[in-house]
Amino acid sequence: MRTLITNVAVYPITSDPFKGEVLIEDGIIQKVAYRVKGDYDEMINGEGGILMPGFIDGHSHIGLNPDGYGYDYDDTNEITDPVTASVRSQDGFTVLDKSIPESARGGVMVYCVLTGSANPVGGLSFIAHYSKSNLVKDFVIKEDNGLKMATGENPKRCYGPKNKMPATRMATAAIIRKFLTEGQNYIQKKNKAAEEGKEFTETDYKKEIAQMIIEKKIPARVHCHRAEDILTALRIKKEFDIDMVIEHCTEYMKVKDEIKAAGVPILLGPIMSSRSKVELKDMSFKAYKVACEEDILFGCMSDHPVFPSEVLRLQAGMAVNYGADENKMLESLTIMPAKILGIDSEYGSIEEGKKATLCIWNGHPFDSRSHVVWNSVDGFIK
Amino acid sequence: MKLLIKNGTVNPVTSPSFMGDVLIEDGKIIGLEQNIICEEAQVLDAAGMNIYPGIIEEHSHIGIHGEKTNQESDNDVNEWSAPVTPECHALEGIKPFDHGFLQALNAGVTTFNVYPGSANPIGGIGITLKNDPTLHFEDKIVLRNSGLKMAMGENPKKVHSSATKTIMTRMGTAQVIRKAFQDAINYRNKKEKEKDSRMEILLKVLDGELTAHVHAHKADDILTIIRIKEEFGFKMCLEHATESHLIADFLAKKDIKLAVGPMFTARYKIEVNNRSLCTPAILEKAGITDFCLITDHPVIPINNLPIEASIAVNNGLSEDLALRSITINPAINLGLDDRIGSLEIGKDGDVVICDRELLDPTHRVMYTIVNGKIVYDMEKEGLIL
Amino acid sequence: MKLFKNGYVWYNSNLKKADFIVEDGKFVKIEEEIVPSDLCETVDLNGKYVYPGMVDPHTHVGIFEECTGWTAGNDVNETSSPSTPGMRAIDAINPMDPGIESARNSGFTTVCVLPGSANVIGGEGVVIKTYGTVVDEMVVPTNKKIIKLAFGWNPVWTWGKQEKAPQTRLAVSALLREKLTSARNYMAKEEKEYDYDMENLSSLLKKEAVARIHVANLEDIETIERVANEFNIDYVLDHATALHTNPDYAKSLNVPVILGPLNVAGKSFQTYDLTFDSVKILHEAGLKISVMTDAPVIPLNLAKIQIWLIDRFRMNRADVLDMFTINPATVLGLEDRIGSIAAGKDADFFVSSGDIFDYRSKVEHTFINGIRVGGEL
Repeated sequence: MRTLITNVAVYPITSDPFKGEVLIEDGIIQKVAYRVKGDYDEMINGEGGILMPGFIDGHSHIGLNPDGYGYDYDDTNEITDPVTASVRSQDGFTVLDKSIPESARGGVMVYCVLTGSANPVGGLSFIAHYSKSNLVKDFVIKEDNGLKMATGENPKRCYGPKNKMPATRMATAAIIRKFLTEGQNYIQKKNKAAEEGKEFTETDYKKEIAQMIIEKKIPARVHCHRAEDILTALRIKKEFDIDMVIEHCTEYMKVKDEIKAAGVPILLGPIMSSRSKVELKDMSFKAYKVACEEDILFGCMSDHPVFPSEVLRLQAGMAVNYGADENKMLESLTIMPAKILGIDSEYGSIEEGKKATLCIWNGHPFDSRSHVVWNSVDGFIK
Repeated sequence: MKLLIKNGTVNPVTSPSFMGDVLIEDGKIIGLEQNIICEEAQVLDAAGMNIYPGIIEEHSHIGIHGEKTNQESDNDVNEWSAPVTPECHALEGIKPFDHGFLQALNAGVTTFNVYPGSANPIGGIGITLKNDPTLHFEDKIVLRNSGLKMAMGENPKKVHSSATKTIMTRMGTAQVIRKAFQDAINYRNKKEKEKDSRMEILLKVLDGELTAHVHAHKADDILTIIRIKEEFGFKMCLEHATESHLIADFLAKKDIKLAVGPMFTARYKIEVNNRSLCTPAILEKAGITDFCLITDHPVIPINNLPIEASIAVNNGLSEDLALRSITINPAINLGLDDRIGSLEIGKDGDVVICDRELLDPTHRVMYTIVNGKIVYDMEKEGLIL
Repeated sequence: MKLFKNGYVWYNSNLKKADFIVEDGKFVKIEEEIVPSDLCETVDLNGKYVYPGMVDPHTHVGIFEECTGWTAGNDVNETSSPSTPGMRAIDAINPMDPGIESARNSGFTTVCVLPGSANVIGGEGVVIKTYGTVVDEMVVPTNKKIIKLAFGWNPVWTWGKQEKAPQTRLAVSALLREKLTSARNYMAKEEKEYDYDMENLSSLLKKEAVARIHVANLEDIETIERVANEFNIDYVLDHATALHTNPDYAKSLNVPVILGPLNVAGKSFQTYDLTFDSVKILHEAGLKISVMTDAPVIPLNLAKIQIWLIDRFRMNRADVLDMFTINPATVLGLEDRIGSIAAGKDADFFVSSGDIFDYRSKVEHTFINGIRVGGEL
């Protein structure tokens, strides 16, 4: 079925906005132009609204702790072992979370669902696309796309009081190093067995994942707030030569040069929340302004439900309030997180050939009075 | 507002069944005979169906025991922080939109009583509600203080031997109860005192204004609370009375009502080892005909209330008493028999209409009517099972 | 050899006036009319109803004994570890459990006894006939071993409270994956020490065992599908409380489903989607449904209440009866021996004073292997 979206201000993100039309077929953007010629089966009248790509929330725990269901339904953090590399956020995701359709109303159509930050080595994440189905499989667009890690206060707060490691930042780093070293050893063991023509009979689920990190098949997604935690992460990245994304990166401004030199993408946020821990003391919206000026690859993230992804776009608006470039902030909700997640060939901008994951807004998303009136999953929203 | 139910088999319970009609006006039954003519009435064609008084549940935890939810957040059954909590009221623990209300509608239960739980020797006050979803919560209340819930046996000592370390044995439970009532008497005798609402509630029990409803399974627990009752002289109803069939002749001589059930649980604790499906029949044989059946929902689902009556019949209970035990008897137990429990002129228009006999467990409730309003229609809402 | 005459017999999915012969513990033949002879003893059923012995594929009778209080007779969950694949329910069955007695007195002749659901990997279940004093003589051998697994809140509540894994549902599947991986390693080793846990997990990998998986939520069922495909194991979904919320998906799984216990009130998130509708919806989607009591959650003599409540949906009564007889027999891989009255099958049946859908009926006699073992008369 060919659908023509007309009467909209098209914001492709990778090029300038213009008043125009978009033709979609089979979930793919076929044509983007001032006027699309040719026939169509269905027309969506945007009534002068703004057509944006669906926003991409690079760091979310949506579905792992559904709103209003209480402790029973919270599968964000497996706080029984500081290294739980083999758990998958996909196994704790539930579509019962009413914040899922609410996020779509706020323009967020794609999210990377990560495990929490209680563990120095957390679990595997997956990338989800908003769906109306009650099956998790209908949400999944990419499985096991990264391994969560965490530094700073959370891991030591979870284990230290139980007299378990880590009780300090030193131990958190040591645990991560040990995990990665075991990955290196594991690869060596496997190679040795192959050389000797023997069958490898010591498959270890956690070490398999360490191997994936060492071999750069997936990145380490490292939760860091304070400058020293960011530097620790970068140090480990260099030491083991692994791919990495820095999550939160709250004190980015203090280490912007090191981040640039390391070429590591970051996911900034949630800034629109309280400074509830000591490591958040210097949290500021100014970080977005600096990230824009430094022209690095960064995403604006919610950490839902710490900050609801339904209003992620307002956090980006607040960044503009503090001096960040508006276009760059729009990119931080779209093409930049798409690149960070490795899905930019299909998502993150309105370009021919990409997936038609789109929203029509009745005003600019950074204006809190506007909202999504139509999206490519729900159609018109009442 | 008039509702005319036509052409069904009418089973008033307190009078013989007949083929005919029931007319309800402004929430009260005004007609109960064949061929009623009423032009302005809304007509409900009950051809081929069986019409009964709304069923009454004397002992449930509907609304205070959260269902399909997180138990820590929504289970408000037992205030086990202390063994004596007469001031706790079920009213303040009920969640009005809980699933149990809907299940009760589908079961034809038009009035139900909600008690606090059985963790405490003195647990709190019960409340009786009409199951009318069109009313605001406060307007559903028919009996604000339906009784003082008390408990004997394994539950209080199991809970309080660890929670408050105040009761370790059945002896302890009995003394906690005696002391509470004695404290109330001492309070009454004091010349100068500050008003103590807890003591006021206990005095109401001693003065016969509020009935004690005592959870007791084993015969010895029943005998203990009867002993205490006779020492202090209050009114009492025994809840569960699981081993009542073992002392039926003794109980027949006492002026104590029995609320029997739930009959369908496994014999998972020692005090219910002698749980028997024959208990109602044995009680009837001993001349006890004023007992009611209970489900203790959600211990077993409330829609099992008429099924308990069916199984009791299968184990020797008369059909007549089986029907009474879920309608007029619980009404009398609660002191509400002037309003509910049977189809009689002047009583509330609470009716349940089934496509088979109520005692046939394969029946479907087609309509539930409360205060003359159709509040559940099976064709529209489907079965809520 | 015994000839039972003049009963209404439930066979070939129909209630018909018929006679049948039992010899050496098996049904020999069932026909509308069999002429009595001197060679065999004749029993006149006088118009009573005869049904195949009912089968409950998921119980804990014998290991969760009634009338023994909270702990003494409770051997359902070996909670010394969340993974106990080597445990065997047979080692804890007390055949004199009053729960087994009430089962056979109400027409249940075969039950599968499983470890509980507190552990992610609970152990080995066993199928028994409901009569006997020596459990080894009651066992009905199955082609495949039965290994109990559990997803969802039971393992999470049990272990999370002790701050041990699994504390969340994330770790349930991770634990299962890790243990199955260890079993793979065990199988691949040439020299190894015999390990009971690894042997049972290896059976699953070799498809010499079937996993019986306790699960409630739809997303957990999807997780099970992923893990089962990853390790190529056969499984059955037990309870499957929310499966009916996506019947197309249920059909696509193509695995046996055992629903129940349904006649219970929904007291926790685990029962969020609990409804008798699940029977109707999944049956209409084309699945062959079995229904369990999870005894003693529902004592077996009250299983008939579930039959009556399902009947409120006015489905075909033959289909309903199948859910308590031939369908569970098939799930257990025992359809050649039990689950219906047919020549060659075990003579497991019960004589009822009336139709099983009539609440006034009583189970007068229960027969196992052709011998009367119980009943109310």
